[in-house]
Amino acid sequence: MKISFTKKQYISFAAIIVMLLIWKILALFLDSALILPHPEDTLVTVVKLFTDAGFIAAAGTTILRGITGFIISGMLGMAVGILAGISPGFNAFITPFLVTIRSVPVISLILLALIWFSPNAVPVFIAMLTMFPFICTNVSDGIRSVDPELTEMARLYRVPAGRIISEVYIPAIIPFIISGASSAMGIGWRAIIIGEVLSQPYYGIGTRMQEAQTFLNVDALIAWTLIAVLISYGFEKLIRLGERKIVVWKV
Amino acid sequence: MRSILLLFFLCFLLGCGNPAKHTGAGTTCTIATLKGPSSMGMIRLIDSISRAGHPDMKIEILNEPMQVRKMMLDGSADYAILPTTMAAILYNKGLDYRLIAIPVWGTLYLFGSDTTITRWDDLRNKRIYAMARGMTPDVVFRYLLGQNGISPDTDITLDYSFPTHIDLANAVAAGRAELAVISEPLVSLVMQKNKNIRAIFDLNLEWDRAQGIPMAQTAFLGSTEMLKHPQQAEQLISAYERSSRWVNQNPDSAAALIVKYNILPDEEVALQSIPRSNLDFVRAGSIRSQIAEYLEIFYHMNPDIIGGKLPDEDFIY
Amino acid sequence: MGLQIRNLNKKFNGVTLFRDFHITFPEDRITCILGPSGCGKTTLLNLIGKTILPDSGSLIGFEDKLFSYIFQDPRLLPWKTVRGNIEFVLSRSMPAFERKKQAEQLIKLVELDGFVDYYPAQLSGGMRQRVSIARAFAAPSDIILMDEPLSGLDITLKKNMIRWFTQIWKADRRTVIFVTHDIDEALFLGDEIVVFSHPPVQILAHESFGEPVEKRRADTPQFKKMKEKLTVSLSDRSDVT
Repeated sequence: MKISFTKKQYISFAAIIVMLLIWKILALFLDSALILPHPEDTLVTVVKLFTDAGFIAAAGTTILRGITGFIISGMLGMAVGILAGISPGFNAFITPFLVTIRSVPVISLILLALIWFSPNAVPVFIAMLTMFPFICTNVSDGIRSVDPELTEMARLYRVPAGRIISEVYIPAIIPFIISGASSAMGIGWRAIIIGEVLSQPYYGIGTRMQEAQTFLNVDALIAWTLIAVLISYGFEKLIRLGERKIVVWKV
Repeated sequence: MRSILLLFFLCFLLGCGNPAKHTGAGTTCTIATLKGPSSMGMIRLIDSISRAGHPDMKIEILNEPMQVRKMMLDGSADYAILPTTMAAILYNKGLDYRLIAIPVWGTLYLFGSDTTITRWDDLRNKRIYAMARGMTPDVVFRYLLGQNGISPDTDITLDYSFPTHIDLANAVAAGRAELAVISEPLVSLVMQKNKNIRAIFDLNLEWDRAQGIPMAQTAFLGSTEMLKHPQQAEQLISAYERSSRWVNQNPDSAAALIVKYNILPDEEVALQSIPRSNLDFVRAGSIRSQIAEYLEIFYHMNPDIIGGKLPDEDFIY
Repeated sequence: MGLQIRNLNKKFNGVTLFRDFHITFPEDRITCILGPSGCGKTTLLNLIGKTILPDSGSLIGFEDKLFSYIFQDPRLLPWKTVRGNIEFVLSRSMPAFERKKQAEQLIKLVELDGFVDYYPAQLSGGMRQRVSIARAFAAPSDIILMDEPLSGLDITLKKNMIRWFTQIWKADRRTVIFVTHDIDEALFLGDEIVVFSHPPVQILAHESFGEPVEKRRADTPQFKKMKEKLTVSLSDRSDVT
């Protein structure tokens, strides 16, 4: 069975190799497993973590939190975004809120959330708050960019309002939703993990990272980081895949 | 999939890792200690160093054990005081520090404003705050919970949302945290600020009851480099020993010094805190088995707490 | 009988477009309103299509009529297939298989059978026009309204549009009213050609084209004669009675 790689894949592959080489050289130079463990040790730790009993619980819970935050901010973002797209007045009203949420440093939000919410809710709240402005803005931009000629055509042909929304507006904004979702995801995962590190819920990747730091398991710390990166990357890929499945009409 | 396999193969090709090395200390002798019982026991030594104006001796008083750990990691501390469990981790990870003595025994209390707690069983279904997962207050408390038939994971809720000791103490003082596991001197400080807070369980007593030995909570360590000069080392060690004894025997004068060097804000609190802090400088060499037992308890709970394995004999100076 | 507009008065932006205006549209014929830009042709179309209201006057025969539209640009929904775009304008009270049948009928008439499931992005400009024409005829309308349907198109697309429109219309023959300022456009598509003056609008000429629209050719003498007539009428700047 022959597997063929495209040129682009070769280049990406080479980039990963270079990253690992740099890592290895630095590790040799620093010569301390407590500052920078060697890549192969870390990889072994990653594999060990995978087979560890608590892995599915920790990683699974973090992923569940991410998905929950994503769904909530998605629905909220769509609802508010659609309203903002339709009504300029509402848009003017909601914009200062969005700007504020976007500008507040994530860490401030987390420290405040720690006071307001239980440890399990903090990461979800943070994820929601960081992802919501992205989705909302993208959706409202999408609504505004809906071709007025298309909506006019639909109106003239007496297509009922409900169908105009579901068959004209929604499909028009799907590319915007997806790009909003994709940016939101990247930020969201990072926010969840920081949230977990600080709120230390019973199950969570962030919790394990904090634990690794306390126990001075630097390789575990890096291993969990790699896992977090993989999760973030995986979900972004999923969205891209979803995009290709849904947005079939673009050539 | 093939790319991942290739990756693994290449990494193994690149060879195995190297053992960690200890970076040596500088020309000044630096002692890293914690703001609390550790420096309280040392206060006479601190005072004499400061008054004599030794240019080659420096004492760093830090707020958090992590800060002391950092100084040990980068080698800037020649002597250090931090929780014994942390000391074991560092030794097991290859850092060249040896355990000289246990200067502070148990300083942990479960305290708070909840007046309904009289027995351990009353803790069921309560939310108890601790500082960080895996650190001494947390693991000691978990151990004692287990000893009293309470599962830390299912029967109570352990909440680690407060990032530092000081945040947690403030929360208790403000009434936001009703039950917390915390160490002296914060216990005395908070109880002075808020009269509704009382010490519910003396964890050191509980530990003694359960184990038959007191809690060898805090460790005094010295770098192997420094300990290569036993005479100079002994000077410092016995000075600390004398200081510790002096504090216990002269609490009033000690309290004055403690305030002078900003360890605590007023003498009243200091006087309350000294007896609660269990200061007793005991050389590690004479209590090898006690220290081993202390560490073993944690080893059986979760080996990672002390660094994956029981430290060998060379750990103790 | 028929479609009539009587006593129409309409001011727009301070300009009196129509004052006591009358016009009759024969049913089942293609009526073209030919006039200079800004003379109110589009306004009249909007009045007929009921997107705006007259200041006064009556539109007789238009009451229960349904309309279809053919725009200059195809205005297809990019995320729907050819079939989907046509079915879009069909009422949901029609059962699904019925809608499918209707759509496929029209698609066949514009000879796009092989492209039923294609998306607009995969079609040429001319093909997209065909879909928009098919859609107009698929909708259950009585009157088709077109506003300058060929302006802005290049020669090829113009020919394409004319060809497919006439082909599908001859099988259907519903009332069509369209406006344009282009004489050739009027000649190729209109059975009845009404020439408008500048506002307040007067009917300067009303010609009937005997030859059926599907047989029009630019080189016939009748065509050329018509063209001459219309050119004269159009250049007649008599906008005051």
